[in-house]
Amino acid sequence: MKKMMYVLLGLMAIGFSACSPDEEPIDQNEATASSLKITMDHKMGSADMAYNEDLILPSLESVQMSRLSYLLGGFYLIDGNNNKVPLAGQYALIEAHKGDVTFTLTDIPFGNYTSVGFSIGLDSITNHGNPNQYAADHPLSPINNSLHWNWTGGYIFTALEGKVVKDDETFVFHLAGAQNRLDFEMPAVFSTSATDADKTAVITYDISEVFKNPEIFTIAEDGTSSHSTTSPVTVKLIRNMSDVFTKFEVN
Amino acid sequence: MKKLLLFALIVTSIYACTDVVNEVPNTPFNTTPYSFTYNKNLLPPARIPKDNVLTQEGVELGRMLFYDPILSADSTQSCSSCHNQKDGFTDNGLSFSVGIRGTKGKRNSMSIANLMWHLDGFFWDGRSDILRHQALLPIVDPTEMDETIGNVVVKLSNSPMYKEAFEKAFGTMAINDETIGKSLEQFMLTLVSANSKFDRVMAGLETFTVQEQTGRTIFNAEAIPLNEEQDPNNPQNFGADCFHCHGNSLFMNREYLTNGLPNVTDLGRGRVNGNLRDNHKFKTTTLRNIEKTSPYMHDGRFGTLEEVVQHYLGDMSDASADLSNEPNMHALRDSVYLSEDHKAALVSFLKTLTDEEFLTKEEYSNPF
Repeated sequence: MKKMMYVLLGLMAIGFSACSPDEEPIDQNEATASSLKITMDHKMGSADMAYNEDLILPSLESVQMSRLSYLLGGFYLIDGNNNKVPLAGQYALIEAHKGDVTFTLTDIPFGNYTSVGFSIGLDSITNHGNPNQYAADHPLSPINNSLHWNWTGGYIFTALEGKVVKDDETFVFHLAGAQNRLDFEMPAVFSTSATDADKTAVITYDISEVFKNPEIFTIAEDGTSSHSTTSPVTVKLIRNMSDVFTKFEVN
Repeated sequence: MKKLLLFALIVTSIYACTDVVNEVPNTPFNTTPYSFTYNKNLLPPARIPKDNVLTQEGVELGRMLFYDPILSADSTQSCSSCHNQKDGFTDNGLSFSVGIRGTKGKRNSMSIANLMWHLDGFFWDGRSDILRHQALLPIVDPTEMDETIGNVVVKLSNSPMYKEAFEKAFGTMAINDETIGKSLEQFMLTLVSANSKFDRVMAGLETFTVQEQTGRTIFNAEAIPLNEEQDPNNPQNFGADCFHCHGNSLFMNREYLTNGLPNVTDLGRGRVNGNLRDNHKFKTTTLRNIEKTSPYMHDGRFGTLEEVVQHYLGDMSDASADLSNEPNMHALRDSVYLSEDHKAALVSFLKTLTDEEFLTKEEYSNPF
């Protein structure tokens, strides 16, 4: 009987190893690449951003913001050897007014990194591709993001909406167009390995920067809507947005 | 003993090779996969619940339940009573549907086309998160079918036809709220509308008329304030701004919004989530088959598309919801002007969203 047990154990061992590579059970705990979970921390100056509450812009206008939505793409990392590691096909939809501020970059090779790069907006091919290729809950699905612009094709990269408190006049800034994609590269020193694969980070987005550097944007004077990709309103806001990200901290 | 060894070997091998991420349930009964044939360039990838993969048996059972008044307390009302295929699965031109014992409902019957792509809830107020749960609520609503799920289970369990259908679909004759909801969900998920003239034009198979193309331009153009420098013949200068809420190929978005209607007492989304800012807001509905789904709005107040267009062009100063909290509507209120020709063009474009195949398709019709 004891001999039979050994035979049984042997057969079971064969059984467990009989699968083809595709069918082999995956050890869920063994990471093959790392991830970086990023939370966007939105500020108005030094204060936490609040939606549908009174805020003072750099122009000293009192406003309430009801929507801040934007698309991030073009992610890459710079490794310790100064090589660019693209994270192709990864996008994020941020809907700050809804509290949807977290996304995760995946398939990051193990290694040491010094910087992270990304864009507000999309490359031209992605921007004008067929949006129906994406599942309904994908960041680039128009159903999901309400940021697809049929009349020129492509996406709104940033939607910033609200009202001026004094007279209830609303503002609608929809910033789009390939020339208005904004590229960023920020220091981000971190390492990942099989035993330390899942990292978290916080990026600080100061919304007051949209309305001040290099030029103060005054809604009453500059305008309440963007209307086109080349309007003075769009140009001024995009120029100001070049320094909205003030901090990138990896935990 | 050799048989025991062989059995152990087979069991062990099968166990070791089980694919834990397989989305297809490993059922001990035979079902036939249900397949879609829509143009995937025109609509997003299918969105099927992993725990309710569509099967021909499940869809057919759902279809039977959808059309069977057995779901109502007095066997007079079925889902199809208020969701008629020829009307784009809405209710025969009624502002408010009439339920059991002649009880009038409180909201207009919604289109149920393309439900698989709906995010963030069902019903005008989004009170149901999951389609299979949505499917059960009209059964127990006193103004609709006024039945209990328990009674429905008893009635279906007493039916040899349904016992067989449930066994084919779910491998069990045990009928319950889960299998009823899942089968109705399966049928409703198959109701895909994607063969309108708009779709065929997008696929390069047909062309818009000049009027329809003008309407499409207006539909997709942003409302901008008029000024003297604008070319009055360029429809781009007279955008109706429809696309902000109805801009993708499903002609809907995932939001609950106000559209500036006056005299709205229904709190809508605000009643569900308690958020005062969501009072008088309702789900953005699809415009597909809009020609066939009159009357319009959550309360069916407009009988024609021309009335709807006129609403968006008109004075919204007496809107029930505060439009200053809805910047896109506020801009629309201030900016839109359309000539009579442009109004007609916009309506003609909307009519290109009519999908005759969807309205007559045998698979969607009453099986009894």
